[in-house]
Amino acid sequence: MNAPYFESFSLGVYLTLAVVIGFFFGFFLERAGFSSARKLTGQFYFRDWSVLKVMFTAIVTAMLGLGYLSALGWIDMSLVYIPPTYVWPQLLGGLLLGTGFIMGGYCPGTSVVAAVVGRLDALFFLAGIVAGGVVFGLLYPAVEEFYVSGSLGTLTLPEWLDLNVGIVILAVVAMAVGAFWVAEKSEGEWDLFAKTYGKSTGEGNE
Amino acid sequence: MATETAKFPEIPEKPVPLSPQQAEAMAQKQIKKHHVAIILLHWFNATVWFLEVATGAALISSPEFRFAPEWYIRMVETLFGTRSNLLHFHIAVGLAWIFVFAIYGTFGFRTYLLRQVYRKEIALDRDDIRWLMVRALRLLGRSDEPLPPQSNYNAGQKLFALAVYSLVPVIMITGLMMTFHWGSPEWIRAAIVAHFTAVGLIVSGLMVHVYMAAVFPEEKPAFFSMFTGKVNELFAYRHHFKWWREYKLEELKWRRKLELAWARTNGEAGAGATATGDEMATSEERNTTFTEPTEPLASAQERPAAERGSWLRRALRSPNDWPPYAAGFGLGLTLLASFILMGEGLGASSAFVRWTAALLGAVAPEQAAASPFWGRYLGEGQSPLVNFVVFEVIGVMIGGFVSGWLGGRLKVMVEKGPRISNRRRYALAFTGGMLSAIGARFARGCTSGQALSGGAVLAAGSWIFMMAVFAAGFAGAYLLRRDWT
Amino acid sequence: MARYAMVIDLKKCVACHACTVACNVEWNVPPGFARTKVASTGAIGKFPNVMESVFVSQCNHCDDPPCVKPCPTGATFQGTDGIVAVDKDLCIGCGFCVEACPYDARHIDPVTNKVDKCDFCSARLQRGELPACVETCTAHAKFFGDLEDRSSEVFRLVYDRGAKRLETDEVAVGPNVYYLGTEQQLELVAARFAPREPRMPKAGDWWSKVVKPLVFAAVGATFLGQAVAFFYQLWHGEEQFED
Repeated sequence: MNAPYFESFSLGVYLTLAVVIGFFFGFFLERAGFSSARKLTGQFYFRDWSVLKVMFTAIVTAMLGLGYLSALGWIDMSLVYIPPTYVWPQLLGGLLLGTGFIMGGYCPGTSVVAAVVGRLDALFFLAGIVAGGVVFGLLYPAVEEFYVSGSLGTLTLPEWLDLNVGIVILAVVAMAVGAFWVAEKSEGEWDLFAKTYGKSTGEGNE
Repeated sequence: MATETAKFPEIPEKPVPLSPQQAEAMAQKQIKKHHVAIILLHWFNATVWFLEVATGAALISSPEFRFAPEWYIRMVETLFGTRSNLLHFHIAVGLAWIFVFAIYGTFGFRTYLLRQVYRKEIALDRDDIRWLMVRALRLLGRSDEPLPPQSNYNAGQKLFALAVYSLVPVIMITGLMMTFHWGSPEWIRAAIVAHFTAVGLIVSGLMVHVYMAAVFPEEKPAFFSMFTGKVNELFAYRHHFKWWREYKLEELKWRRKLELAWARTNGEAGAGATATGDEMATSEERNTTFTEPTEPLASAQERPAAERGSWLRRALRSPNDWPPYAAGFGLGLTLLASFILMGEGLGASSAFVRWTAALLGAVAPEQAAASPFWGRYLGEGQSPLVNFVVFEVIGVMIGGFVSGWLGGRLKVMVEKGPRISNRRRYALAFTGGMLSAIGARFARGCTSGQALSGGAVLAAGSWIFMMAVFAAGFAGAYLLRRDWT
Repeated sequence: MARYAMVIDLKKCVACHACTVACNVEWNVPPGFARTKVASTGAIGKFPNVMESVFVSQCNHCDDPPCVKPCPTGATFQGTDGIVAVDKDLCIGCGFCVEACPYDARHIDPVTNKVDKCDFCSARLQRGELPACVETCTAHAKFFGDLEDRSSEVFRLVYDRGAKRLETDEVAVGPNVYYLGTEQQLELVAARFAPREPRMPKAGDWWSKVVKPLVFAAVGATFLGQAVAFFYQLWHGEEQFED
């Protein structure tokens, strides 16, 4: 039988697997050092490029895996959830989340990890998430129109750019490798914006 | 006052520069500023203002007159169910407010309204007028002249108090007129306009009041004094010199009286005056004596657990972060496993929405189900908690904890930049959490659900989202550089 | 959705005031006030060519009711069935709506000090009954029904018999009480009881034109000032205080 397998699980198995997958998610986030707001925000001060490196490595790994499996016909991609595209709300959402990230030092997932290893500020971030959810829920009737604006359905990059999937995958990998190169250089010899933000030596890596 | 100055030469008439030791000693000493009744009254008043402004703004729904935008009015209506509930709530809180202040005004007329309120909170003297000018110039960066000494409320607070004390009765009376329909329609019309005007004026002042107290760095001790009732002496000296002076004079007067009485009982009348001087000197010395903090010695003889055993053991027990590529690879495999097994990627933010939805569904089932936002989660035919992401986040908690535990990284602490206070960090974290939650809802996912999972399946919107996150992060980083570097 | 309307046949009306009485009893309207009133245009012309008509008025439940917008608290509202009603709980008795109504169909109840008006007997409609005035009309001059129901009496009277709305070129807000009568009669009524322009009391003008911009400006200026101060503070960093 082909992946994905969720339809064949009983509810108990499904939810247990959810916890197990979450376990590894949380474990690797913590191991990457993402329970530290200083490390996470170090990305935006060009001091510690871990956020970009971890994220792109993970995306590339999963993307290559999915591409490989679907090329072999072992996974039915039509059953895999692909988030629908809503250009404007997603653009605004990204800007808001980025602002929240640099203000609060976390994103929702990493704040959970930071909170369980004892970061008090992460607890406040979590409280903020709950409050923000409530605020959004209350504002929802007013922003509903915007919320569904720019809808393009489930649109993938290959469809959007009208390119072969393989080429897009290659391009993403190339972009990731390029980004890694910039990251290594930036952490090493370049030390971008040292004048504005201070020398990067050692600070974010603590 | 002149005779008192002669009698107590150790208390200066004008602010004088303090030595670091004196400043340190004064910073340590807390003196009482507010009576507990005043603190309670303040927070009662603050709560009432918050509730009344929030509900009042939603009560004026006429497109000709309303102040709040329509979505706000609709939001508050949804919260209260019906508009008439909203009005009853507004009236109930308002009546309670009037009742409490009527008691305060009746029983405390002489003590509070005449003595405290009039003399200390409203009446402006020459120093106050100068203070206002200097303060304004300083805010504009046009002057660095020191601020004239102030009594226990500064001129800005006094001005606000003056406005509040003259406008609050207007609000109360017009509110009663509308509630109990006193007077002809002409009067009621005038009342509602006056009600709105008075509130509007106070609210614009209230914004300054809140900003000064909660955000403005120089007034932070004043903010905390509204919880503890106390300010440190240094703050009192710097910001409310006249009040500090009165306080010290009073204190010294009592001390001398006690000493005289003490001396009399010991038959040594007249020795008090010199003793006080000595006593002041010794107390100052006592305050400025420090104990040197001793550095704990590191006993690093034995190799720590993290550096022994196989590479896997070492990696798991390491207190250091893994190389990002290794952690990223692990994360990528987890993500891949999620796609293969569950048919969807990882997520985080929607778990919080579902928890909130479940909570609201339990507390206010009808209103939550009627909400176009939460109703969706509650209308699935089962609890909103029976969901992949909800259970996955429980796993995240366990996984994060286990990793932290293995690496010896569990530590209760605050992560922040070197220059900011914990409180500022908390406020930033809370605000950041709110913004990212709202952002995540607009984007239908956060860094996990959109950027990571959507990015891996090459969803166009996810890449737009990811770019926006980085753009806002880099832009915001510059503005917030003092908080993180 | 229903679109309720009333048709009053002025030729049939005998000016017996039974509708007013029934309504006052049904809704406990205090003496001296009425939700529906019977009036006379007064005699016009010279003997022997004298002309007079009776006129029955009440809330017209206009398509575009001018009384809804000025209500500060949202007490006056238009339901989805077109009925303009008052939520008595919310009414503070300011009378903005009384001044706004072109047909003077509203009054302030001297007992409750809240506004009162015809609501097409909504409560009776829900029980499946006709409005009290229609049921009681001795001359059967009042008709009530749903204009969206093609089989209804009012539909026939409005679209086949040509019952007319009482509007002018200046005030055309779509009243839903239609009148039948001779041409002369209707002309006379239109001349004597034509709708007036909605009025906005002085307090309302002050509020919307002076106070509201002022408060907006005050709050806005304060906010702006604080934003400037805040960014100034961010920019320059916090001064260190030993506390």
